[in-house]
Amino acid sequence: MAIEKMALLKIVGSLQEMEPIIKELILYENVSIDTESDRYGNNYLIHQYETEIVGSTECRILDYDELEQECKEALLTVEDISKDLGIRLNLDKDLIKNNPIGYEEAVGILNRYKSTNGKIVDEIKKKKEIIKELQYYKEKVDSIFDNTVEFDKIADLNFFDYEIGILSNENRIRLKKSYENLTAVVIRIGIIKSTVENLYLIIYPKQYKEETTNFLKSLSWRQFLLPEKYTGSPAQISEQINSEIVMLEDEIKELSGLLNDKYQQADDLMNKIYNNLKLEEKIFEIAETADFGDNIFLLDVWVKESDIDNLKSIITKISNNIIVTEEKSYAEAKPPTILKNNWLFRPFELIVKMYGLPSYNELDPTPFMALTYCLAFGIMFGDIGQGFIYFMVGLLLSKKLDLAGQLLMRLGFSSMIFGLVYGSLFGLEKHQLQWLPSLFEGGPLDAGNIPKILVIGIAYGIIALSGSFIYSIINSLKNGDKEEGLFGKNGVFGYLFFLSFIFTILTIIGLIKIPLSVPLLLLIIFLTVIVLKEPLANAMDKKALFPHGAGAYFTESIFESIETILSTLSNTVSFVRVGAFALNHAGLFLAFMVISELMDNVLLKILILALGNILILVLEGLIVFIQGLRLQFYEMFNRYFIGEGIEFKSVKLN
Amino acid sequence: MSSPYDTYYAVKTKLTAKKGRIFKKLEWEKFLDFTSVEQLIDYLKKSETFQDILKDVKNDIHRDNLETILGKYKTLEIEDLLHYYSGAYKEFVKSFLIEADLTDISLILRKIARSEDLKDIEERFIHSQKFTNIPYDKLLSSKNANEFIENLKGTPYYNDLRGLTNDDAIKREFHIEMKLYVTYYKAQFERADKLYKDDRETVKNIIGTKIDILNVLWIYRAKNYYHITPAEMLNYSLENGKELKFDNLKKLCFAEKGKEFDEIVEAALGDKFKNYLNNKDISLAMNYFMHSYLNKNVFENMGLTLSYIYMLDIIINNLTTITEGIKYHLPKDNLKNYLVYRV
Repeated sequence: MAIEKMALLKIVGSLQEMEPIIKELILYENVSIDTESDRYGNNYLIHQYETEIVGSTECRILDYDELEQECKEALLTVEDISKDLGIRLNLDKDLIKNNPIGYEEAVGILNRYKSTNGKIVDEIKKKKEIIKELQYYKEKVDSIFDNTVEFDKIADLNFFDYEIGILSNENRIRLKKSYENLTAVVIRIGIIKSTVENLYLIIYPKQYKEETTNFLKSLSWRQFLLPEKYTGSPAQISEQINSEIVMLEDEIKELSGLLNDKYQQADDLMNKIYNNLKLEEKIFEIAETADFGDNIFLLDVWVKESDIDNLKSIITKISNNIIVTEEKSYAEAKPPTILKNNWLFRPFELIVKMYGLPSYNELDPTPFMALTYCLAFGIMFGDIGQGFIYFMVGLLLSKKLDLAGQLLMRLGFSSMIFGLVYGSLFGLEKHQLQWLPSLFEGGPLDAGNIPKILVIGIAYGIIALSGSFIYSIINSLKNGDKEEGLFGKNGVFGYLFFLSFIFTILTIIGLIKIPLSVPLLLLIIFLTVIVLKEPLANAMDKKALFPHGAGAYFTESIFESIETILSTLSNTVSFVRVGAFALNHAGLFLAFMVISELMDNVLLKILILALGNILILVLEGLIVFIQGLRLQFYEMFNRYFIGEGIEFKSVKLN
Repeated sequence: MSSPYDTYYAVKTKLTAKKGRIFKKLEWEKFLDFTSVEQLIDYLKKSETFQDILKDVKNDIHRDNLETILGKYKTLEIEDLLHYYSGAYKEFVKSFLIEADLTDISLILRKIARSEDLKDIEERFIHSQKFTNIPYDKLLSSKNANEFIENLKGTPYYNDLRGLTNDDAIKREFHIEMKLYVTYYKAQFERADKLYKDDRETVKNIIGTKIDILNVLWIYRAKNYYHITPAEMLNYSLENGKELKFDNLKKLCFAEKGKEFDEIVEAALGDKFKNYLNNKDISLAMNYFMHSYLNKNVFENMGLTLSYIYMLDIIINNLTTITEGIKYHLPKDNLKNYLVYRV
């Protein structure tokens, strides 16, 4: 229930061992590369190790960026070829581990493959394109209404020319309006279904050719020209085109057959090449982030502390020339965060991450958040039946969306527990179902219970805020921020101020019988300490009290203290909503209950109650979910959680 | 869709401020006294309205260049207005950004058809970077008009220009312009249909008026400069005009130049427009008519925004005219007559 302990490993080796090392890091799948090496003064280290590690002088530092690009291009070629051959490419960890094909070989095979089989593949492609074109013609020809007309018979008229073309619906209307302005015969001969366009035949006197074509241009006319080889009626032409398509398809089959003979071979080979290229691509990408000296390289990587020994032994197996050191103090570094929570709290990481990932030195708010969120949800939405439905929906959902489903199951469970407290099953209460257990005699809406429930809301708030204060104090002190941790408005004195505020209220309403002046005096003392937080912290550190001048400090600090008073009040009152939504939940159902009582028909009664339940489940459930989030994010996280952590991204192939 | 009344008062306040800054503070009288374009640009650079957009511009500005800058200015102004709208209203205001896209599409197509160098052409673009749906990179890579049009596939303009040959793109430039406008105004009307009744009627009236003017302008140009038949003119005309519906448009297309033409225009748009048409530059007539139409009507709805956008067009036109006048040393009194903004 915390944040995983991390370690920064510095891996130094000779250049010739770099690729095998990176390969192991990738295959380990639990290593994150740190790209901000300038923070660690690696130059000094490299200098130090240059004398210790003897590498081959034949190995040079390469332009890894260029290699990565080259690799990407080669990958595109493999994917293209495989697509043409219908080969499925898969990443295979075992194959990557023991791939018989190296990078140079992979690129070489690819080039040879392109030059021999490439021709066949190209030919298939060309034929497929011709088929596409033929299908375009066929679609138009098939769309002609009368498939017996022979258009070539009007081709050789002495005084008339004709054109067949395509018009959009919009231009068709324009044409219709302009019939009288055109010296031509206009016939709609077909409708093209796929594009909702019209096929027209226009026959016009030869002397009006220019006029007619210009007129047609103004309608965005697209002439439809069939290749001359097709003759006869549309039905015959369609038949001719069809047989041509069949012929081409046969040819493609034959060509594919030629390829298919090599297919089994190619399948295996392409997958080997693909896996190799994928690995190399990643290796080059990582190599770009390394630091280099003469013949040596240095990589900074983050691993879980528990993985150190394991990883070290894997890497040092590669050669004796590798030094792996573990950085203990990394004051300058920002370790990535991995949250480590048990099964009960893990789904709530989803909500925490929505706000931000805790940084490495921060406390993980997930467990506290999970408990308080479930509690709030239960109080606001307590019902055995509705909670059960959430639980079941969560169970189903967890098959598709694991964490979200699990989250819903926990909220549903909490709702069921509080359903037992309120004595509520699908909105029905003890006076309807006598056997229901209940801690509140008369249900939440009983006049005597309303104040109780509102007070429960506030009490919940006090507990939740106390927890937030404790988190905030620990976080600040862990980061060495005494000023905020001790004297800040979210620190120790902030908390004391908050408590005395609560005591003041309790004294005023007469729950505690002490003179009002006592808590008021405490309130003033604690507020004064908060106002003086910087000088107090400076005094502890024996520094100048007001490094930026006293005047400016007090102006700012007094305003801040006013804000502290206001926010303490509003934060606390804000929790009334927890109680209020509990009442709202019961109230909403009451409305449906009243409507159902007006009905005589039993079926109608049931229908209305079911409808009410659905509405409550969908709409009110969502509202309660959001209100709960609001309390967490705004009233609580705001106080103690920064959430600027870096996610641990392990290098992986996909 | 949020009610337009939610934002109406916010827009009204904003536009009143903008109008005050742009329309009132530009001292047209002073511009006429300038003897060089540099002086004018110097002045504009210091003005609150244009200083931001002109700050990187040298003074030896070419007319095209100033037009580009002012075009960009209009695009930015419309983008700014978008902040006040959502839903169908936002889509409607966005439709005014399309015009800049069309200008840029035509510019590229013209250059590509004529095999001209496309170097630095991006600097002349005025379209909205944020809201364009046009694949400009693809368009710029085209080798000829055919390829260009194929690259337009997926945009609403593909069907308008399909079938256009390289030769057509040079000889029938008007085809490109008018066909794109047909689609533009169609889209604008479709978006206007989704507004509330009051807004819808107002904006359709205003745009309809603009379409009337564009149609008259188009037919006038076609009759005087292009050798095309009346039937073609009619096919290129825009739909949804306010006064000039199909029958009137048809009459106008088939009318003789001169008296017959003028009478139809006068019957539809009034004698003022007709007089301007005869005496002065036609685009001036158009701007003048639009200006007086917008000033005559008080809009208490979406019309306010529309009127602002159209006013910007007029201002931009005026400024361009002045730049030209100064450049060609047109006498002050003469130049004055070419301005819509009365001095």
